Amino acid sequence: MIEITIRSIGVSGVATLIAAALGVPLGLKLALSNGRAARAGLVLANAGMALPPVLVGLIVALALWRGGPFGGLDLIYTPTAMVIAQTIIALPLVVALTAAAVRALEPDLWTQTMALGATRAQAARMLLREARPGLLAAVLAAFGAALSEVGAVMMVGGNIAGQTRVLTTSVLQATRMGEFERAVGLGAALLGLSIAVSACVTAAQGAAWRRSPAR
Amino acid sequence: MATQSGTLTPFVEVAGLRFAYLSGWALRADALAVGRGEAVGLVGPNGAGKSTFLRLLAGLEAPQEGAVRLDGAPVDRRRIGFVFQRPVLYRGSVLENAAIGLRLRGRRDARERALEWLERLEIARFADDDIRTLSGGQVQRAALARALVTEPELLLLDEPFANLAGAARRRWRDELARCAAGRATVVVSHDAGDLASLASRVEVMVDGTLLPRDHALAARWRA
Repeated sequence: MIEITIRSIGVSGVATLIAAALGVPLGLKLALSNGRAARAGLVLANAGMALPPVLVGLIVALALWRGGPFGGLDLIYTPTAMVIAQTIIALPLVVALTAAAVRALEPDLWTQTMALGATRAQAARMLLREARPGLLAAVLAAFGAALSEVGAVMMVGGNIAGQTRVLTTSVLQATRMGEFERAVGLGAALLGLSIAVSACVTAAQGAAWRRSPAR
Repeated sequence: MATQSGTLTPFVEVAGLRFAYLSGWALRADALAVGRGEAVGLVGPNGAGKSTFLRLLAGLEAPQEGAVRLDGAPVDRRRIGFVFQRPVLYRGSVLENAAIGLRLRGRRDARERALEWLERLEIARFADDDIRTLSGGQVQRAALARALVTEPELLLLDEPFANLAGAARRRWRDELARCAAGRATVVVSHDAGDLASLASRVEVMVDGTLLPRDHALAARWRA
């Protein structure tokens, strides 16, 4: 179970990191723009939060299948394929929640930061610093979505023992085989992991909020 | 070249400035010169475009026509200190807020310099307090310290007397005059009386237009 738990954390953690690395700057950009493209991007990100994971799994599987456009990479039924699927599921969450967190800041914050002599990159960093509690929530939501995902990772990972088996797919398999005691144990590990991550992020959020009496 | 007051070399020069938002609202300022050590007041009714004009001077908005030049060069925001009517507060202490401008410039002495300005403005005792616990007047002082800590050559003050009355207003006026000394300063207010003691001359903006000094309406506003 330890091996499966470590793999779950690894796959979901990498997917969350990639989603955060792409999604935070994109969410910031969308929040600061007023053009049609930005509005369309936000609509897509919001819609993407309700993207059916099984559909993501199907699309990634078709892309990575031997006859698919990326079949030559030989990634199907590997942890990399699972990371790709989970990143696609987590990315809209990070984008939409980052944009919401930045838009909730003082409207004049960007301008006044630029007036202090900041470069655009410095002003962007200042805004993200101010939106820290919201960003932490975005990353937590993304990790939660990735960690609890089962349909997509089953389709692209194949639940291969010792290679692509993670907590969620293990719970599913144990239940199908009638090994309810094992399924409950794995489910408890999954729940414990979610609670531990949530506690860490909540503590970090608390530290950020304590520096802001305007909460 | 002399300023419009005819005595000082201009540090700020505005020429043929035209600015319009997509909504169509427009601003027009044909000429303005402000010398080093000179404080110019800008008065006009609410919504006349005074704050937008300050943002153009600060390089925060780009004009469609004309230009603002500082010391003969394009606007460099790092030479400007801007105190907004409603200053935004960053997470953190009063000292951290005051030091931001210098930190953005990579200055290692940011905290020490910021503390000096907090002492000058008599709010050093709040240095370690969260800035969002301060009163409105204290926030105004912290915002002034934040703008001055970088030793700007041009100081822009947007409605600095808002929410102040009586003796506090007079004290603040004296304080601002001390802080503005030696710098080119542009002060915006909708009350010409406030500007009289702080500015050496007062310009008038109405309906987005910086009025010529001999305009009849400008004379009425100054009076």
